[in-house]
Amino acid sequence: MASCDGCQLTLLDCEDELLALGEAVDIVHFPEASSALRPQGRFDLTLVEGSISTPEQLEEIRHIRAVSHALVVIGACATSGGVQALRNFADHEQFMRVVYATPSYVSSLADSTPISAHVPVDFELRGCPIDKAQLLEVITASVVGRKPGIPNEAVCMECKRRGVVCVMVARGQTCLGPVTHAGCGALCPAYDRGCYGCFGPRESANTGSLATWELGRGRSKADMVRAFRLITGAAPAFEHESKRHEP
Amino acid sequence: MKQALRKIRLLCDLDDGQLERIAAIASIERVKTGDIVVEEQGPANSIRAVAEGRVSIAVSVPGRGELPVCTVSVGEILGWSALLPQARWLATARAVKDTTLIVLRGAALLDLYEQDRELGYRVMHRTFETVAERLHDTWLQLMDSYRQ
Amino acid sequence: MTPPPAHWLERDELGHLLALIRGDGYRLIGPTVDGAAIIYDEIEGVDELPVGWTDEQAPGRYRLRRRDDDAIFGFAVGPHSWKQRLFPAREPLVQIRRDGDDIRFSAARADPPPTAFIGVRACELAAIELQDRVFVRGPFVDHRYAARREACLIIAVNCVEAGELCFCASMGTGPRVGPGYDLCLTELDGGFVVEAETEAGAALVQRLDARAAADAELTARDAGLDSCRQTMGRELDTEGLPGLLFGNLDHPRWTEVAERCLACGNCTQVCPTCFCFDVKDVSLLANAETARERSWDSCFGQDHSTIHGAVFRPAIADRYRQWLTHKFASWTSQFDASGCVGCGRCIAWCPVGIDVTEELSAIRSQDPKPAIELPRPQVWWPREDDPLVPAPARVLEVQPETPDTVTLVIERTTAVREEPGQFNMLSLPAIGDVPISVSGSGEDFVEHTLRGVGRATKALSELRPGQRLGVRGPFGSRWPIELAKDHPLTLIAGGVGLTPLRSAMQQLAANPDDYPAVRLFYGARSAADILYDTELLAWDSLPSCDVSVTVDQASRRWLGNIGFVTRLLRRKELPLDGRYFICGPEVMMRQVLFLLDEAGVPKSHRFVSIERNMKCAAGFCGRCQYGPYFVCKDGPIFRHDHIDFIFGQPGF
Ligand code: SF4
Ligand code: SF4
Ligand code: SF4
Ligand code: FES
Repeated sequence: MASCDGCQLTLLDCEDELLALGEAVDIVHFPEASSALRPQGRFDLTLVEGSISTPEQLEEIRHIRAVSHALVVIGACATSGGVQALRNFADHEQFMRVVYATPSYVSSLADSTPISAHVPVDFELRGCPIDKAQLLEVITASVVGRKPGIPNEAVCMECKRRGVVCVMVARGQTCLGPVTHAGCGALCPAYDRGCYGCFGPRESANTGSLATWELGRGRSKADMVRAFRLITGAAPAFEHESKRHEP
Repeated sequence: MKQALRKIRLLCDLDDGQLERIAAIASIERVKTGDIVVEEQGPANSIRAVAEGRVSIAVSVPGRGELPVCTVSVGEILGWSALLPQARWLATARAVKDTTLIVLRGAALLDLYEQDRELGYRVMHRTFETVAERLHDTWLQLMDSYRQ
Repeated sequence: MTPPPAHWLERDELGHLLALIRGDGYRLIGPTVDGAAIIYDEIEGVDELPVGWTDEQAPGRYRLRRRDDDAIFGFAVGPHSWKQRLFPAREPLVQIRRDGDDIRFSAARADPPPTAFIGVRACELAAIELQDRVFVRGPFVDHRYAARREACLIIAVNCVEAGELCFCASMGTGPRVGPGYDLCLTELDGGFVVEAETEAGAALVQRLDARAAADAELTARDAGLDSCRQTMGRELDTEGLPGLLFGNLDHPRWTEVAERCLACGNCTQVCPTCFCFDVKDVSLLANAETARERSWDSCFGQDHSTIHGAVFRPAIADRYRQWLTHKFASWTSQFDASGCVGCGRCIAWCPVGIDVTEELSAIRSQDPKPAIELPRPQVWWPREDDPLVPAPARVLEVQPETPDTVTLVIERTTAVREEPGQFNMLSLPAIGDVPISVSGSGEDFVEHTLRGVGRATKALSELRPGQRLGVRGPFGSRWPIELAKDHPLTLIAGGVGLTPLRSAMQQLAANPDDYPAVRLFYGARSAADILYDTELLAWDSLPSCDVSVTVDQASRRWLGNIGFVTRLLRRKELPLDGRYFICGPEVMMRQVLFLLDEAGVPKSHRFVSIERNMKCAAGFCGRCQYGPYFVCKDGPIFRHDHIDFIFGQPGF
């Protein structure tokens, strides 16, 4: 689907573990599967990366869903539309003219949307890119039959378990950690930077309160639009919040 | 007969005289296991109370036959449609045990209500209670709660 | 008791003290400046202490600042606490090895190095004492925690300056350090007043170049403590707080604060007394080794209250209320003390500056409803065995009960006989463990009936005779079947809710002289879902027992009752002096209780079985909290009048 393939790289980066996995799992790899090259048969677990940006992709994902027992979508693109979803906020036509010389060759849906907007998914593995350990956990869990040990909690939980000092409180920075799905291990806060929200909104993301607090301590509305419109800006909770602060 | 009527919850608020008047319009019906008591679509003319045994209420589902939805036991009533004008049975009632029923003709019962408004009020009040309970129990049944 | 003799230690001698402690083989953990805050970390000497530093704190705000003097302990508590050292954020509990059909479970040992905590404040020592109540003074001992606790030497510090967010004086935990330290320092001009409470502490003082403290120094210490007490940045009226909070579960303030609260869990993570944890099996696919690990959890997370996909605290208001009612109310019922020591961390480190003292006083002052009486804490005599380590057990037999339900007959692993209503934790490597009630037992076997609905129960239900699983238990409270000696007893079961009642029924049916009048009303989904059908018939044929069954869905062949179990109850007499045991989905139990209300049966005559998320089953992990109770140790069987103020309330 539409993505940078970075998440597939994460999968390849798991080489050693994949060899171990190999004993229990047969891997059928089909990047950018076109309808002509559709793999035959049924699959226990299919990992899909990327968002749905073209009509072909839409058709493809429906096919994949039909032949997969479990469908796990990986990465910010697949789970929230990704950076490409920035175009959801802009005039699509104009975007096309700026980027491509002959836009008529490019068939494209007006929005870049997460896979779950089109077919039911069994698990959404968030991240941009996804975290290697989490990917292995999803695959292992799916094979041994346990619930993936990836709680839907705030990045703050990981931050505190690591003993990182909160950048919002101690440095006055804006951080999306409280409203963002855990998974990265609080990567940015550990480097004294606020969370950019790569893993997308968590359940119960109270973006409104976070924005109110930030505005209350001197941030501007434009700051809020920027903060919520980064990596996973098309995820409904973030999209809604960023729109509230548009001029 | 009066003895049998006393055991019916519908009539439990009535005094002796009132019970006698009900007894005058009541008759006994005995059915064997498997027998049909009333049949879906038939004219609904009598309300019945179970004196002994058990009756199941079933709706026919094309292609699947009769689907029982609840059972009616001793002291309980079935067939309140008979109190509505020109009603038809919406379900089939069938004995699932050898059963004795007390039959009260709807028209006669309505006449009694007219003559003795107090009797009418007391019986209708209990009828309403039964309908409400049955409806409530049906919601719970619909929730399929043991499935989780 | 005479106060311990106090000594005077010159400022320069502190280094000497630390060196002595290190020389004795202790690693030192103490406050140190790290970027933007004072944290607790491994240190080697005085140089790494925050000499001349202090902090400015406000709700949602913490900043380091230089002091005008070179005080060493001139700051308030920061983002870290000693909890991280005694109850680490992540740690393995059990190592699991699979070898063919063999499974071995072994306790992950802590083996902590001797560690000295430098600069433990009064509130912090109180917090450690509170966590002791959870991990070593409950029904079980957490051996990892206990080992680390044993291995620590506590060098405490009396606070002579209060922080902007401190309220230890209100909570009765400070500023003077309470019992439990080895050495306690009070920093004054030029040096420290040193008090030793333990022999280890006294021995250290002896080796120091310390003279007896002069009266003036002691007076200065007391003055410092007094001025600290009087300048606390926060204050809290704790009078009757537990009953007040539980009397105001529907106070509008909960929804109001939920608009601000991010449910991020920071408050619970920085809180030195919060102890909730999650347990996960960590394994790699092809690996025979699994580590069962715990990691800090929070009641602000969704998973904390989730079972079988049902979230018991879905709204932020539910979660905030759980946090505050637990800290300031339930704790008193659970551990005989407030769960708050007044350290102020949750106020500073809340990203949006929510202040517990403000929230609590809002509830107290804005039109509160009257307080209610809460249960008193139970006294536990800890059992020595490690409750978290399963014993391997062989499956002896697998009896199919219904299309999706089986009874596992497994080898007995413990001499402790299960009581009716209790449960075991059944576990499989790499999958995890789940609570399953005991449905029957004998001299050398235990029976568990389970429905393969979740992933773990599904895997368990697929076990074959000869295979192994892990068992730990039995845990929890029991059905008080002895009440049936003097009262007619009615058991009301719905679905798999029959399983914990089955073992009760077996005992009741086997002793008709003791239990002459027993009725069982059982509602099942359909005829095919009826459990233990031959046993039901056998019980019904006994003169002492009467069994009625009803199903929600039936075919024409079914000649029994059809309708929800409430239909059945309406037909029966519900004697007022009878006793009632009820087990089934919560919605069913609620409806049954309504009918018993209508019939006028006193609540104290009814017993219900509650199901909540459980991880440890030993009273450690906090997952199973149900208002002031833990379902794993106070339940699963509760008397209705003990829980009626929360039963059926959304958010519990
Ligand atoms: S509730 Fe807040 S003030 Fe109380 S002990 Fe916990 S962190 Fe400290
Ligand atoms: S339930 Fe209690 S101990 Fe657990 S995180 Fe919440 S407040 Fe802390
Ligand atoms: S009170 Fe503050 S720290 Fe606690 S969960 Fe709410 S926003 Fe987070
Ligand atoms: S405290 Fe862990 S299950 Fe009850």
